[in-house]
Amino acid sequence: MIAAHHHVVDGTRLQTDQRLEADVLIVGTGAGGGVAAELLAKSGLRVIMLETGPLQLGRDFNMQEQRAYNRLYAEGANLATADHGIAILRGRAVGGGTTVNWTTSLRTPDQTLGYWVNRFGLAEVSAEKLAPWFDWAERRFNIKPWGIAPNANNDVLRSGCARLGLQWAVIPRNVSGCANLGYCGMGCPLDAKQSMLVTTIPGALEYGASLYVRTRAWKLEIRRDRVEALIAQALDAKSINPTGVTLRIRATHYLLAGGTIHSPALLMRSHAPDPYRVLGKRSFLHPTSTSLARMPTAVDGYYGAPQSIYSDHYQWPDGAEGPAGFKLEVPPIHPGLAAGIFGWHGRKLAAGMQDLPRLNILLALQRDGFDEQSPGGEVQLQGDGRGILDYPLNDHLWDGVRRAWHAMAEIQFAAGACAVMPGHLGGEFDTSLAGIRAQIDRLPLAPYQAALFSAHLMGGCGMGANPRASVIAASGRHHQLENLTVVDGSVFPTSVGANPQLSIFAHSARITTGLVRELKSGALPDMP
Amino acid sequence: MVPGPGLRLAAATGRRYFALMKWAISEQDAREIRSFDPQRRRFLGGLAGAAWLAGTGGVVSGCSSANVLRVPLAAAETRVLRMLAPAILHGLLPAQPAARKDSLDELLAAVSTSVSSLSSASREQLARLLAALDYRITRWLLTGLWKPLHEATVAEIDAFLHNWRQSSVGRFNLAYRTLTRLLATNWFALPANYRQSGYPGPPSWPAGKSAMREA
Repeated sequence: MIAAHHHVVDGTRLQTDQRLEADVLIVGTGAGGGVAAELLAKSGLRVIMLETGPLQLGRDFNMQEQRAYNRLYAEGANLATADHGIAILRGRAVGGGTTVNWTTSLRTPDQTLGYWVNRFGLAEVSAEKLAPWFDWAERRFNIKPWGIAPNANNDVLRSGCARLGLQWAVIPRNVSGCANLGYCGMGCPLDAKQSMLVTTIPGALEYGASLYVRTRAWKLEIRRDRVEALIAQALDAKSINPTGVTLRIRATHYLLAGGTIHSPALLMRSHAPDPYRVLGKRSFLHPTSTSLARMPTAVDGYYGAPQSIYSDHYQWPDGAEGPAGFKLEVPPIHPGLAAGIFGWHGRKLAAGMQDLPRLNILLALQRDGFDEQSPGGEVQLQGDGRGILDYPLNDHLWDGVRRAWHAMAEIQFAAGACAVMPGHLGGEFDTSLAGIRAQIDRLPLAPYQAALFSAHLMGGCGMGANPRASVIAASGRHHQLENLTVVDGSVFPTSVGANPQLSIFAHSARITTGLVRELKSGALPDMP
Repeated sequence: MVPGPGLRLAAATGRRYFALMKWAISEQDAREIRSFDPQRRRFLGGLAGAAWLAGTGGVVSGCSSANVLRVPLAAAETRVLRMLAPAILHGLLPAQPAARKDSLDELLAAVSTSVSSLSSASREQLARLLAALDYRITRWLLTGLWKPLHEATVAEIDAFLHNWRQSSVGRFNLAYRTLTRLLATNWFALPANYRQSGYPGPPSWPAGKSAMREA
């Protein structure tokens, strides 16, 4: 646990400009930055961590939606792509996404790694070479298949798949002493979730690292092929506006872990070399569609481990390329979140919400970035210098959405649903599979009408052997900047095809261990 | 120099005119209008979207957007949301006037907190949409309502919300999603309203939950 003797500085309270020095400066404290911080500090290097969001601890987590969204999520959970076509849930607090995610801890699929090896020349990340890193992360974060029966919401997915003969499996979770409450998305009130907040960040602090919260990395000072310093802004209590106090931090090495929007945006603001115009491109987010079902008996989808079952039956229809594959999962069903998914008003909203205890929702997470027709989005700078993700929606994506609605409706009816409705402004509950199939084929596929979400941002600082087509090398090192390394989800050259946290843990550990051995030979003998 | 009210009004009107023109020549919007159902065009006033669709700020009536952005919700914005709430949350608000007012106050406080978490870019977009609903000409263009929102019936507001939902112009769908989500999400997330969705609320951990602990 983060304790009183740890060096934690709240940017909001800083009154004067700061000049700091470190061996390694880490931007971001999510899955990538958290893992890196502990390994670096443990090796004896002086580490400073910067986090834009606030420090919120288990005792602050009261299982109230509004409080959680406002404190722990970017834009109070109202973040979206540039044209608002896809709503984005993105954690923004110490621990990043790991503080608010639903604990799903799946390895990068072998098919994805095979694609990376073949298409991006990344022999270093083959399934065989990554296995010890996954083993390490699973031990470190107590990742095990969930041993308790799925809640009724997840069981709709399990039983529907089972009846139709479709593949399904139990989700491994990073928890220890979990009470099956169901409030992972609002911050674990029991500190049972093995997020960065209760594992690697206190670990790094214990080894002497410093943590600056409500502090935004704004600009790198770059001279030729080296980063000389980083300028950061202290932020107000809402972690939005700068207070005017700045921090200038010099380090031997700079580690970016701000995620898919912020790592590319920081490099862009800093005019980092990008000779082949690849920075920020190929950004992915698992565009996620929904299907709602009214079940005959109570589902109580607000209680119990939010995600415990998944199906990859439709994930690799024609191998990696071709029509979009999708992974099926469920979300927790709390009233605020559900009201947003309905996208209705008036009597229809009231009637829909009245049945919340009987509501099941399935999610289809589309695997983007594997086909020519799926180039992903692009991180851009807005007028105020902050990053935004522009993600155009095309026919390849819509085809996947339509197929996913069909697949989800079939599973929900097979599991005994009374009525099913696709997540679309024009959607209506229909009591028959034939009826819902006709409706799905009729609904216009257009932005804002079809409800699309994302909780997984990936890419933008893609890894690859060829500097003309990637931002960083397999080592995590920037192709043009010798003392800058990236360790977050932005390094993935496509989407992962699974909830990304375990993939980020493994890559961050692999990249950071390599860096430590370079900066401090002989350190970290216990690592793979 | 601080401009006098007359100059400010002229400047504001000029900006609005500019915004309308800027919108009118936007290629994407021109496409959307060409593909538009003429039956619906009357309600949308042809020049759909006007102010909040325009790329520039300064269409916020009564004060500059910079002033609006400094407060979680400006008075005019609160007023607009308060008028929309009875239609968006039809049948959910208490009938008794005092209880209704308390309920709306609590909702608007929650919405205000949400809005204060927005980035300045998102905040400005919302400000523009709410201002467009407050300002007569843009409101008429967007909703077909010439009269102020507080004189409109719930049925009239419900009708334009329906039109926004079913519109083939994406930005009306977006406006619909933005406003309904802002009010509905905050409404159902309030503990006082849990019973309306049948949500029992968070478990009273740890009492009674220890039996469920993982082995």
